[in-house]
Amino acid sequence: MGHISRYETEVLIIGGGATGTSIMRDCALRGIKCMLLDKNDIASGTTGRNHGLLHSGARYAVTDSESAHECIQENKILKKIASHCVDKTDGLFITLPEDDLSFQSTFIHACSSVGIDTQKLTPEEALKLEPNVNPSLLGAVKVPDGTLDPFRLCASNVLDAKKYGAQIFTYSVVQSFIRAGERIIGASCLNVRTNEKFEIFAHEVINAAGIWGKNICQYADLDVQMFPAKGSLLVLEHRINELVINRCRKPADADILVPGDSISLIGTTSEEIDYSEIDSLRVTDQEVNILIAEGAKLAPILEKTRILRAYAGVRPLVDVSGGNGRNISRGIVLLDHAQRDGLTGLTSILGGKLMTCRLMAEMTTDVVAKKLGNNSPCTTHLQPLPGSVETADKQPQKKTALTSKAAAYRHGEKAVQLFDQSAKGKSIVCECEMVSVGEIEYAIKKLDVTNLVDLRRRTRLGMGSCQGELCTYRASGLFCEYGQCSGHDSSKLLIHFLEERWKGIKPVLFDDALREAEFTYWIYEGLFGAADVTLLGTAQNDEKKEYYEI
Amino acid sequence: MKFDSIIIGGGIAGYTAGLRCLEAGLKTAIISNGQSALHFSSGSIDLLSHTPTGKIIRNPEAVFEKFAREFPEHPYSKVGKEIVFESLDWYKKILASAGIPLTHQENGDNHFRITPLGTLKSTWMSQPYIYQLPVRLEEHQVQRIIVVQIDNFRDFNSKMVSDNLSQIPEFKDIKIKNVSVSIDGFSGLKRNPCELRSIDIARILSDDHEISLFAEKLKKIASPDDILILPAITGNGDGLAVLNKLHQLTGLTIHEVPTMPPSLLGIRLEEAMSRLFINNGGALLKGDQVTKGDMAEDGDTLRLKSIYTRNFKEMPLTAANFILASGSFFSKGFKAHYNQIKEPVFDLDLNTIEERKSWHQEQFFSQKSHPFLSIGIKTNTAFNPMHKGVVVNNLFCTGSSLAGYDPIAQGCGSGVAISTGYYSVNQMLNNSGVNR
Amino acid sequence: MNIAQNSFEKCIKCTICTVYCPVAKANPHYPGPKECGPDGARLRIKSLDYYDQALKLCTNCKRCETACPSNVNVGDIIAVARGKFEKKVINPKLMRDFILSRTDLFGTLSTPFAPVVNKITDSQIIKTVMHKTIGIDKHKALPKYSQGTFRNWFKKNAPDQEQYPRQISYFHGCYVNYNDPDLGKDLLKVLNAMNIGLKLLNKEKCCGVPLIANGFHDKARKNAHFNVKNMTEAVEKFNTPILSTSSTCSFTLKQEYPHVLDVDNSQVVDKIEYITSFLLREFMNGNAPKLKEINKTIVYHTPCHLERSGLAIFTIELLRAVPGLKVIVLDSECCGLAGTYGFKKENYDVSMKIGKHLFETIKNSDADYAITDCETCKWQIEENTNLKTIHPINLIAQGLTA
Repeated sequence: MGHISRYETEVLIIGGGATGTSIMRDCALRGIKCMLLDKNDIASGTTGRNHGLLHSGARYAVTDSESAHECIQENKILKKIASHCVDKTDGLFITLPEDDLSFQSTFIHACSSVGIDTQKLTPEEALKLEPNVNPSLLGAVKVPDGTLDPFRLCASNVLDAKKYGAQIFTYSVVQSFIRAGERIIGASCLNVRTNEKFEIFAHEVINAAGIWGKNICQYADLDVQMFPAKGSLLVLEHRINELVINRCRKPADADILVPGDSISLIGTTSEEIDYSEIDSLRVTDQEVNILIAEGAKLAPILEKTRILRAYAGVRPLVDVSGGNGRNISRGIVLLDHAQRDGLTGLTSILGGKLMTCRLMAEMTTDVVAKKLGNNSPCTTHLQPLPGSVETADKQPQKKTALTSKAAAYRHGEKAVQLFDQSAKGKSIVCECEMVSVGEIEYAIKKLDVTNLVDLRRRTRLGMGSCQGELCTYRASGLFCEYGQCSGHDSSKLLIHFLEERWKGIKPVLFDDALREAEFTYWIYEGLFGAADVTLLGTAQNDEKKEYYEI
Repeated sequence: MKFDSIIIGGGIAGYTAGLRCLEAGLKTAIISNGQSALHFSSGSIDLLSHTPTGKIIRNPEAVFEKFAREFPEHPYSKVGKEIVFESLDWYKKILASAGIPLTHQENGDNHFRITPLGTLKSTWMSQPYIYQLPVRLEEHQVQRIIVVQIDNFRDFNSKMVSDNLSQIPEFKDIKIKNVSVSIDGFSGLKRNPCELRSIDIARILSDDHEISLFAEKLKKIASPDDILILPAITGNGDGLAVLNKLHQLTGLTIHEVPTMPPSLLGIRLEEAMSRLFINNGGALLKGDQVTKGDMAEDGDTLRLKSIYTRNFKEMPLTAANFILASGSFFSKGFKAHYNQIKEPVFDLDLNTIEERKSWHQEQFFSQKSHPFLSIGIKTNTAFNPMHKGVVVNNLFCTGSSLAGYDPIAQGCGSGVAISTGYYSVNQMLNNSGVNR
Repeated sequence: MNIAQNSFEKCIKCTICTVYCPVAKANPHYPGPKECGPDGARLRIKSLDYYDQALKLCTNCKRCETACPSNVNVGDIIAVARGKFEKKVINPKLMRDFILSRTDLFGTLSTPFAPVVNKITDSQIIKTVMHKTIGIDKHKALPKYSQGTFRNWFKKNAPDQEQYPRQISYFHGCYVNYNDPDLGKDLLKVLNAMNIGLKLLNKEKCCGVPLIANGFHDKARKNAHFNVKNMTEAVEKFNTPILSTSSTCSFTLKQEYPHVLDVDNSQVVDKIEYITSFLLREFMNGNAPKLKEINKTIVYHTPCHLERSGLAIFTIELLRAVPGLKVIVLDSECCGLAGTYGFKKENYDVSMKIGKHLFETIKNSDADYAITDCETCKWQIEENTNLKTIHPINLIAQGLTA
């Protein structure tokens, strides 16, 4: 065991999802020193594994008016502070012949009572707005739904927080809490990439680990009951709808179709799973089936559209009854463990939604700031995130390279000015999503990127039609240049990335996804011999060789 | 329209069969639905580098009989040693006549080629500017390797090549160096020169002046004893002429390494075969797709009478014999539906796997072969397929339409394509008395 | 209906199309069919900011589609995008594009004064002026007009066609009507020798291909509706096949109408046929005219649109059926003119570079004629090789005995 680094801070945040990074930003803006820890990359848990839907709240209006109210408030805030993460598409709630049309008026009434604007449309009007919506619809209601890119949101939170002195440790796990009597005063941590141990001492620790929050509480010998629910989604090859399409009925499986950036998403199924399964989610054939069949009811074209991949996330539902009463909340659960369990120094923020991440951060930071004696007010709802500061020159100039337009869309105009503007900087690496060398350099150097999967979350690299076939080799090479990687290490990043892509392709390995996979395999294994990279350098590999002789 | 033989598919198997048919004096057509997978191939001919059980084969000829006994379902075992080597010899002659001399080790060993990741892949017969490393690697004679990075070229990374090469124990004592070289023709382009593909660079370098400037730069960084690793960016449609010129100008030992698509090494083979086929009087129906066929009962068997295509609509194409060389999924020789894999034109019987989740391995780069790569058409020993269990007597299957082997894991794709293409025409000629 | 709308998603990013694009080959400024076609189509759904003006460099030759192993209508995708999003800038070049693409309008205006018009457009001074003002390249000779149209000649001089037991309808197109009525006359001879009569359509307009190529899709769509209406009438009234002697007109009537212009031609599409497939079928069914030996050597050039239709084989086999004729099939490649493309000053060099290999092969061939199915290929080959270039029908007519 070598030297163990020690860090001191006011607040240690565990979990780099939407909530954790929002808390990080909130603390930083209030002048509270903080550090954030995630066992993986930011936005790699539930945050990055949902629809990316900017709810108007309409979906909850009838069943859960409190959530609906929170959503519409946050919807308005995020449109202002995170415009580069938001696409203001609007959404439709459609009534199909099998649905009860009378629900529509209940729905509209519920929406207006929480302040969600609605507009009732005839089928013709709906089809005009959204030509791919199921033409047999009986009616539709337009609401201010949109899309929210969770990766960009988290990255911008971190970028802003770092500007005010916050620090982030990705790929780092908590191994145990450091206690002083009935007080948590820090955590012993391990960087799983480098295997280095380190300790962070903090006045307050915030558990924002989502579904993994139960584990974190266990480190403090506290018991929190969580009920993980798996939700699976499919990624379609391109954007088949311009507006979010929902069913105007009580929420059910596979009834939201979201146009996310260059693709569309259909989801989600819902299945309770055992807590032990949360790290090994699999999308089953049956779920794929349901998603296609139900999705085609929203937009019939979906049935004929190429599917790129499937993925699943876990909803972090919390039992708030304290016992086995199974009073499960879908809302925000803020646990002050000093009050609840008599353990000071630890606060858990659990449950909630991507939509309410800022609000959850505000609530949590309010509690923790008070403990620290910090009286600064929350400003996260007022100050735009980096990337949304300058929206004035949204109109790209004619001569602008396509990669710069794409980058401006992802990072805001201001960030793009930081990119390498040379021919090389502007040149395309990922042809499907127009990711340039300059954007990759920026991400590696400024956005805490350590591998190609992280890079994908910051840039959309490898998220398009070919799922990394053309860009993986090119991009991994750039890690030699900008990421201080050896050529051998960058080859390993290549394999790591293609394996990660493969996870999502497997459940939909038919039709063009299979053609694409065969093609990718020919190139990377048949032509490039990639599988051998992992064997290289392991000195013994020669002895494993078995020769076929007469 | 009437032909003696019609070949469905214009890849290496299809052209082999087509050229053999023309040699036999048959009126022959090839129908190809787009260009073939040769466009992403190494341009070397793989014969057999691994057994289906994963053991390494160093000399395919030496172990052939044993292999055939042990793996009787492998296409090679059905073709037989004599025809396999006869076909490769024939292929070598044909390609030499088209200006592409292929060579292999005199003792029949496989050899290694260097990949764009700096790993080694075993193959059997290669184009002139592939440096053939001995498969018994400790016997190599290499002193120094210079890896050329073309400035601003995205699709080849010299650092990955050199760093991985230096991890190979047998190369421990070799000097491996990276050198950047610029191409003058890049400057002054209105389009971003950093976005050029291999084929675009090949077009620039087909200019005599450009190639001599490039040669001057190479001469400064390497000497003839070095292995000079160059990405395959020269010698496009005009075959190897540009590369010969570069060699002449520099006197260096050039080792071409394929790049990200397109791979010029593979394109050379396809262009050479296609030109030969047309010059020898073959009918090439490009960009057309066979949609269906008419079968008739013929004793206990079936006979394919005619086929229909997208372009010819209701006008049938008839022939005495047909060869199916339509490749695998990429070339649409098979189609994977949600719950089953099918041969889309004739609905031929496949060695299919029922459950979709068993089509693949958990890992993409698994040490075990992906089952979908071995899915193919079930045939008799003459490579006649079956439709609902009944043999189709005048249709012959070749190359990756065949079941029973994994072209990548076993390193035998092009060898199987050539030998089964060749063998099928033999079978067809034997049968033709019956069929006409 | 419109295949181009969805076929882009079939693209698995293999890059093969970039190898076979004649423009990318000769013009390194063109990003190539992959980026302009399927990649771009996907991104343009998200935002029109991704429309790239470089799409106008596409010649619409469709060789990308012939090469594509995934059945992506790459060329159609580009053409449709140009039709939707290309911005017309008002300048002298727009005037030129207007003139070049209104083949029937200017044909109608010019044929009555053909000798004068031809002389004017042939004069060096006028060429220089056109080069400098509207950007028609000075190296190019504009197509010569005939004195009087084929249509008028046919009405006045054609022998009674009702005497033949079978009839076909002939879509003559602008070229035969205004520039080369002799080709129409040759067709009449050949068909009549086969005991088949020829009818004209009641009316026809330019098939629309030059309009599509120059981005005037609305006008092209009008022509398409007009032509479909007239063809439908012919089919309903006489149930005749509709034949064309232009590989490009027939390709446009059959494929560009539904794929690029979104015009429904399903009622007539199976009736439309390029002449050589009709003739070869007749020949094979025993209805060949008597042909004398033509002891000549010809080189055959495959036009892009015939290649895309997959029908070059019929012309080749038809030529091989001519007694005595030695047929050399050239490598199939674009001649570079691509309809109106090569006439434009800004494209001239690229056009010549695309055609260079073809011209050199033809010059070294010692052939008596070059043969091709497309009128614009003919102009390009004749202008750059000095070898007389004729249509397959011209050759068959030469061989007729009576």
